[in-house]
Amino acid sequence: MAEQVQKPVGSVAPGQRVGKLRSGRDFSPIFWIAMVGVLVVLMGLPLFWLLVRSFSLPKEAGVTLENYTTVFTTPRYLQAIWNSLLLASGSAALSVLIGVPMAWAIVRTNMPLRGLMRILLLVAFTTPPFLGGIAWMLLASPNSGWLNKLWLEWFGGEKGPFNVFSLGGAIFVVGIYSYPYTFLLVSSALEFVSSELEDAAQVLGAGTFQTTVKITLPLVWPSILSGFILAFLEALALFGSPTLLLIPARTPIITTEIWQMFQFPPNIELASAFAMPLLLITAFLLWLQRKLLAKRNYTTVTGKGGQKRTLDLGPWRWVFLGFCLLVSSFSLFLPFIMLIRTSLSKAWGKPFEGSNLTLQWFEDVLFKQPYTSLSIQNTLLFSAGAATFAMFIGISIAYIVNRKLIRGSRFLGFLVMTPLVIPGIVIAIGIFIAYSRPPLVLYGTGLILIVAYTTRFLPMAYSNSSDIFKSINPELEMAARNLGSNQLETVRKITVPLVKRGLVGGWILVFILAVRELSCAILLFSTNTQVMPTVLFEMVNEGSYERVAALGVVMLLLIFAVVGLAYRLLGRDFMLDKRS
Amino acid sequence: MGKKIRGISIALVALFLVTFLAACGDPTATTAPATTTTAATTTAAPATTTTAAAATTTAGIATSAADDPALVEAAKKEGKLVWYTVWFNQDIVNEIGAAFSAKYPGIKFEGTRNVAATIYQKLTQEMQAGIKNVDVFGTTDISQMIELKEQGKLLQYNPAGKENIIQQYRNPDNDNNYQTGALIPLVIGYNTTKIKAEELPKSWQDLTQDKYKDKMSTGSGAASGQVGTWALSMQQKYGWDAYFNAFNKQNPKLGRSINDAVTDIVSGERAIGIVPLGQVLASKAKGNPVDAIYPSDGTVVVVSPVGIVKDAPHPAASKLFLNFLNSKEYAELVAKYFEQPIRGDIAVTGAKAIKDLQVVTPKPEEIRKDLPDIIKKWKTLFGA
Repeated sequence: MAEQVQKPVGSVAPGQRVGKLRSGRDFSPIFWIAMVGVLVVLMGLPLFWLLVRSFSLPKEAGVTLENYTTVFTTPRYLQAIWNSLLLASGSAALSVLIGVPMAWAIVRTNMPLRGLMRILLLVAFTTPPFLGGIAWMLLASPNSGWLNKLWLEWFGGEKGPFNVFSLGGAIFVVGIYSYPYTFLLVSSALEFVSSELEDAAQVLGAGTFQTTVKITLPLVWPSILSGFILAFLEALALFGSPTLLLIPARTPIITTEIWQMFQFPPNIELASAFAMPLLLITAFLLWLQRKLLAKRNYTTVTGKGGQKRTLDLGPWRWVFLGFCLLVSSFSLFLPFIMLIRTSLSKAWGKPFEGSNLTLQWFEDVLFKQPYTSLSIQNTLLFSAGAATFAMFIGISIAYIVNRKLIRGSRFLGFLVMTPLVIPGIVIAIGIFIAYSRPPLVLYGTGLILIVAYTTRFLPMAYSNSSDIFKSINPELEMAARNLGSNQLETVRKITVPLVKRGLVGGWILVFILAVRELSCAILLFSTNTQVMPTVLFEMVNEGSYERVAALGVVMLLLIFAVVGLAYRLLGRDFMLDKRS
Repeated sequence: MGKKIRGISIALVALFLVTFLAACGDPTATTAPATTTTAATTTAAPATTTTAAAATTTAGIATSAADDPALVEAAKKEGKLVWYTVWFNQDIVNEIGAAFSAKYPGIKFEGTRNVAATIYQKLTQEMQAGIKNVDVFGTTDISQMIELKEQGKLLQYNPAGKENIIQQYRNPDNDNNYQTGALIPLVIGYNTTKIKAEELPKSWQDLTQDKYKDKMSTGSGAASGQVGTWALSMQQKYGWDAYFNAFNKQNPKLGRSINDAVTDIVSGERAIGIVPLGQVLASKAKGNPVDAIYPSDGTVVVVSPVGIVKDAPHPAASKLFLNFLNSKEYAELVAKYFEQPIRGDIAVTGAKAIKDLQVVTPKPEEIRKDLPDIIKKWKTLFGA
């Protein structure tokens, strides 16, 4: 490194192409400005078109409020908004009921198998919720569901008790995959609560549980509430499993209605208007959450001052372990068993025995079915592309913001985070409109999906890169600058090597998020650009569950292989919640 | 260190390029290996092509007398055919593709099957975006075809072998913008273990009775052309409000594709389904406990049109494919899967012949006029 930096400014060494023209002029500023331009277009264009189209009518010129009037006066759409709110509050409440006790037991107590529980949590966090939804269709369909069949075998009767095709069923299925949000927020807050206050309570005669309820939980109350909000927003924006479960239940929700407006005959304008309530609710709640988290800085919860002790739960530790295992059974063990079982059965409705065993469905989805094998390639390609773009833009913007390279860089930091406020399906509407018209016709190519994933997950890439830059002392860079490197060169030779580990982590994070992304892809794919989530969704509607299960298992193996690799390379914290 | 970084940046740039090329380039280019719908799936595409080319020289005589040799030659030069369709299911579509490629070696086949609303939406979106991907479009909702014709988006072609088609379905469009490609009888299917023989419904009208509450399944009249056509027939027979308010009270399970309803009665999730005859019979033949009832108030036959898209990238292959749909091979192939052939000379084992059925089919102009309205009413009443 040193010898290259020592070369006199102006001489072009091999490999010095970036950041330098032959004349030796430093064109780094042009690069930074280009990056800012890319960011503004990426974020601004879809939002602009979304807004414009929401005020226009199909095939007519002029500005109108008609779409909004339709949305807010049609009983069905109002019902959909109400149902979405019910679904979101229900599953967020469930995620608090699961996430908070689990976080407390894992962080503060001597419950056994705490390490394993953390791993299972990571697994639940990376499992695509719609795969869980599909598995639960097989487990708890009112008549053919496996659990209902077991129930009838054991207890007899006419009908099993479980019906996944209901609002309650959807709340359950969404809730058991969104508790990791609450868990992550609450557990990190619990890490900082010192035991001194708890000790004081106990000296004054309070029992362990009384202490927890009266002292510990109130201290982390803001993080519980903000966990609730995150889980709420996640459920509100979710498309896959609610749609699969609630269409047969005849319960309209916002995301399903928006998707239907993209079916024939399409009404993109109405969909744009209908996206606005979703956007506003999300923006308001995220703002609220920020306010709440800002308050977390009570003096009692700051830093490492106090000591932290592990609580001895006595026999109760087995109760908590049982609880955690039960949750994992619902979110992981049962669904995975069901998917694997179905994927290996000739016909999933028949008993699981020797004569019904087959590997044909794996052969089928991997090699025979034209669109499944294509979708696997597409998924890998688009996700890798998006992860690369997102990290590239993310790291550039993070660098500009952190090193204050241009005026108004704080605004950039704000702009880059905007997709967090926008549910996936809303981003997809904006992107669909923006890139299916001249001059940028990307619809029908894989590029529109790559752009969509990049836009959607740029905040994660950005905050990941930003965290890393904050941890590096600018003095190292200044040294290189003093020795004659221009800015881009410095970044390339000094900064990037220092942050490599974080970059890999960020890349993998975006990659995984993109692989499991459905709500964006469902509006943007065309026949040759199908991805695994969209194919799975379509195949469920066809009722070919064995194929769905086989492709689902392939997808899970893929995701877990990548997560496992990252876990080995980077340690367990690489996927710590970037949204908080 | 410097070298390492250079290596990484080169790899990065390469990845960018690959992603770009693959994504922006001819969308079909990326799909080549995966979408060849042949039996020899594990072999890579180039290998298949070579064998296919070799086969041409020896088996070139396989083309039927009806085909114009110049057309066959032109089609082979194009080398590919892309079909979007709503008929049957993906498996049968794959088989049709395999048979077509076997008959005309050197023409690769890509077939996608989905519900009418979804695939038509994709088709029109791609047309608007100027993407020329699809050659031939087949649907179960004839109003879509009429709309495409009105917009001038179909290529007129009078396929060879039309004289073999059952007379009443031979000329769906006098201007030859589209042809009949499939006939899909809709019947009441049921699971023999879930319902007693004496309780079985005998007619569509019976399905509105309270004893079938929570027992029925079908697709969405808004998404599926087949269910939509059935709903229109019921409206014509009994009136929308009279029939569907009572039907709704029985709380049927409504998915999207009508094919899902077949899965529902096979698995026993529901006892009765409004389903395509062919798929019930196929499932029965596999040993599943299902059977079909021909409703006494008429079997709804969905007359399914097929046409060539105006900007078809492979027009000659498209014409050849339309000829193929009139051939005996095609009729025998679909009959093997218990689907109703469009020719009168092939029968389906275990199924009543079309001429013996009490056929109910709304007229195309009625479908064109009323189906969009049915879709709206269906969404209002059932949600999706």
